[in-house]
Amino acid sequence: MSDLEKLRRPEARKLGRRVSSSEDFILLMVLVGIMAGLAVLTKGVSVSRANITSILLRSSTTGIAAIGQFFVVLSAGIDLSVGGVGALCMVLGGLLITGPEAGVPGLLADLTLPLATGIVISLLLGAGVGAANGSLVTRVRMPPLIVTLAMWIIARGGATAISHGARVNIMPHALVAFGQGNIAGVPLPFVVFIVVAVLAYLVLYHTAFGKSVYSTGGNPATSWLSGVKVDKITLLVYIISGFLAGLAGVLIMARSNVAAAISVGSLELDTVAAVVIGGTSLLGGRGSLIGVVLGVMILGVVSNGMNVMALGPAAQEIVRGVIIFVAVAIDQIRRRNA
Amino acid sequence: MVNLTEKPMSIGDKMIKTARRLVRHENAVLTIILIILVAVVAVITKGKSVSAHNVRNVLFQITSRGISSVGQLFVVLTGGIDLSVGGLAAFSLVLGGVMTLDTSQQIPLAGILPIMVLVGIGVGTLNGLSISRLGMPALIVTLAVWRITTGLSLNLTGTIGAIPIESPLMSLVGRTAPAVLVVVAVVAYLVLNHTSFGRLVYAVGGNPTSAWLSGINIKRIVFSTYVISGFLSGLVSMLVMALNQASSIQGIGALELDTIAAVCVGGVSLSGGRGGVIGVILGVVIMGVINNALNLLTVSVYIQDIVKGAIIIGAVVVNYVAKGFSRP
Repeated sequence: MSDLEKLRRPEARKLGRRVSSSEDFILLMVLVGIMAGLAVLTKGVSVSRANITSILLRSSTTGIAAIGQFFVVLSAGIDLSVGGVGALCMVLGGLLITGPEAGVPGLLADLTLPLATGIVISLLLGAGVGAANGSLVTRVRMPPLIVTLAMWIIARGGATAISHGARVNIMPHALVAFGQGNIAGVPLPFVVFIVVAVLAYLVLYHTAFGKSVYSTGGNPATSWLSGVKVDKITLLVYIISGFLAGLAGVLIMARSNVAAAISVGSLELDTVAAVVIGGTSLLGGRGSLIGVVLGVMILGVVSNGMNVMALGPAAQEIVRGVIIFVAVAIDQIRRRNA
Repeated sequence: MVNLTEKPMSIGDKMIKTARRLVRHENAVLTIILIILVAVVAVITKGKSVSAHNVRNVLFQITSRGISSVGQLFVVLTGGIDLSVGGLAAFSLVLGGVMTLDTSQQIPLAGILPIMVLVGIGVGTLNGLSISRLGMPALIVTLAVWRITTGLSLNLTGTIGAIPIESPLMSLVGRTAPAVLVVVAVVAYLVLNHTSFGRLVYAVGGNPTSAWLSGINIKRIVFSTYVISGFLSGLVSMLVMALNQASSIQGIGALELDTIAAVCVGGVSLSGGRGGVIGVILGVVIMGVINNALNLLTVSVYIQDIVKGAIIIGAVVVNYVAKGFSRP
């Protein structure tokens, strides 16, 4: 967040713990509109039972990480490391809970820990990396962009290094059953996403911590003067983001029965896109959780639609980039005219 | 402080005094680090690192990274960032490659090269306008543009493959590549230190509030830095094409990360307002030597990534500590 931006456009500093619900409504309309459009374009394939399930499965993991990203962005930061952290936690967890039969060489692969232990270690690692991010941001005052960018390549490198670039196959049965199971047709990972979203909602809008996150991002100086422990809040949001990124990684592993660093895809870019589409201000202090959830769904629907229409990966990249650009541009223009 | 005693300084004292002044000058420290690094690497690789073939490879890397890092320097000096450089260079290169295939129009190679540079300027303009006029955050804009240009370059490469482009012009360009780097660096140094534009760049980055209050046209300055960065990316694409003698994007790699690493190692402040060309060039050379050493020692690519990230963080932390815990 730069003083320059705050100075030149004072209207951008309008704070609000909740972006007006009319903006969320607009997002809902956009989502419905896109789904309708895609249904027509794909002759109904995009709204088939199997396809909807696929959308829900994919969005659940992006969504969980996006909620973590939301916390960080609200506090006027950014976490570009979520992809790497997710991959690292997934791969480490995968190696820990499987044995040599997984087909990966190395010391870690030969360990076979109980499922719960492996997952807990994995999540703790995520929180740990988040703590490292947060410490560098609060103590060394490094720009979050650079810290998390560097951490991203470190984590990603670490993930591919310990897995030797291979995929860890054959996950424990219980994990896969969870990842591929469902309640009344809704995939379990998506249920986890909803649970995380509800928890986040309660924390953000019904606790002092949540209030502090918003005020830290909106105006750190005033918050500090008002007694908000800005540094502690900042550290905590990065820990949350790292933890949720790890959770996302574990769920990816659960639903696909494989732990591979590349399964994470472009998680960091997608979470930022979802947060931005959801109307969150990248300068901090403004944003709605519902908007972020809708942003995740919009992104999921569009990605899925592109797959169904058999668009190549390069074309999908272009579309995603354009979406982010347009979403932020629209947001900016709206802010100027507001 | 007046030296009241008449005793002249002994040779030893003079040496200590110069040494102190030298160490305080960070570019000197970087140079010393570089010399030690080259020596250590030469020993570890049993002389392979100083073979003619290897030195040529390292120069190739340093040329492309160096030119791009100078562009990144301008952007970072105003407190911004340009993550689109790699994608832009790749896109412009592949676009040039596609144009050589366009037999219906027969655009000569000499015409395609400037077009590649113009593409760089064009995208740089897009970046600059979005960031300075629309007020979009630099991170998002350059990230989105990176995705778009990378996607476009992959798309185009898919349809044409790596076309060999051999011509005397290409060889000429390839041979003059290091000279181009030197010219770019010298021009950048002169601009930043001896023109009003350069002074304005430092002012905008160092204290945007005062700059704005002083009536400096911040939008114009910020816009210009992104155009410069885009232009230099176009230049890099031209040089890489000449050095590869093909439309392959090999050698561009993660240009954006490398430029950021070079900028961090070079002691440039990421919040803007502090840093110089010499530091950045030294940073580029140091990173080039390290990368090359890791390759020669056949260290796995993943570990190389970890090293790169650690260096970025380490460089910023070291600078933070060395500069007395002021903002990094």
